[in-house]
Amino acid sequence: MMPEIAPPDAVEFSVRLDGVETKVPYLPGTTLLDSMLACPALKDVPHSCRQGHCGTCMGLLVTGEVNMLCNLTLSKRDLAAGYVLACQSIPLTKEILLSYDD
Amino acid sequence: MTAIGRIDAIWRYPVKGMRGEEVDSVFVGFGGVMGDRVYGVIKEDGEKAFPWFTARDDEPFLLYRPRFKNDGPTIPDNLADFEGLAPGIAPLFPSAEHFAVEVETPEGDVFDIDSDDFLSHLRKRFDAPLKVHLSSGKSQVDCRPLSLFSSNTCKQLGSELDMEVDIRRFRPNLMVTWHGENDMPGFYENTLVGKRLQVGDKVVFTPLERDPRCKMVTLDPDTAAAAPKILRHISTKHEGYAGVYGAVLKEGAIKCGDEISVV
Repeated sequence: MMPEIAPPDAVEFSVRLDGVETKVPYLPGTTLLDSMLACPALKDVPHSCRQGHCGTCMGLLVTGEVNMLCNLTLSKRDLAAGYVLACQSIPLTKEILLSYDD
Repeated sequence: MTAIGRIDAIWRYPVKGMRGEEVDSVFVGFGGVMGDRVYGVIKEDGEKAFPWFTARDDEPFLLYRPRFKNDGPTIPDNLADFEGLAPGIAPLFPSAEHFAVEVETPEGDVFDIDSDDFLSHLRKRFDAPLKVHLSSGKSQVDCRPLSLFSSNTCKQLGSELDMEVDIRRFRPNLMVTWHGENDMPGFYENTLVGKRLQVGDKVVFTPLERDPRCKMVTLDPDTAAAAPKILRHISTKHEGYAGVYGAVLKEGAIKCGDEISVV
């Protein structure tokens, strides 16, 4: 599935998981989750259906913006709080911090 | 047959996504528990593959309390007569009017589920083009007719997460406790996938697969407050699964206290 809006070039985003912050190179044409799973330090990042349905990969977008291709599980409350689905997110900004500790 | 567990609680969910109703006994048919998910609320502009509106879309939906009017049927009339006619006849189910439901809102207002007033309430409260859907043929379960979750698994998750884990988060039809000579571990039900289990005198069902969990388990059943760490933990420590889905092989009535054995 192609993103509706092209991400900026050379994005490297940060992920906070279990108190550790990891820099992740964004792999063009993929989602944040795909890029995280390609990073050995994040091979156990929470995820399951990869279809935007289960919500397991929902993380708090502390910094930056993303385009979510599909959202079948996040509520208005989740979205207002800043949660995104990593399996459906394409970065829109060069600086992104996604937290799984919040 | 040696009993490996017993049923401690039985739930059905008159409206998919809303609070469940605990019953002492119930008929379990091929389509699931009698009265389970008879109603659902549909998003007219929703995804074709999953049009239901649930607490995933708006958490307070979980706090609505549906109940069958006139108690609602749990066991078909004259069940023994049907079962007594060889080789055992599938009983006549109560007609749709016997499954009439009223819903109490979190604020205490009560509506008939099929009333225009309730539809107006839903659409206004949730700001979405919703409609109520009565299932004519089967329970509106997500995947399989029957879901089972053990108190052993709940206890283990609570220990691992260092928090009280309310089993109602997992919205099972059956809560069972596995027992043996020693304390049975959590997730024992995973080892039963593919086996035939007899419940009580009559019902036989097979756990088909482990139950892949979603955001619903993060929601406190009494407050709808979210605890995402529960789902993350199930994902990272238990491959995303907790509890099992099952298919009914032989219909019949079950009750709390019924023992479970491997056939």
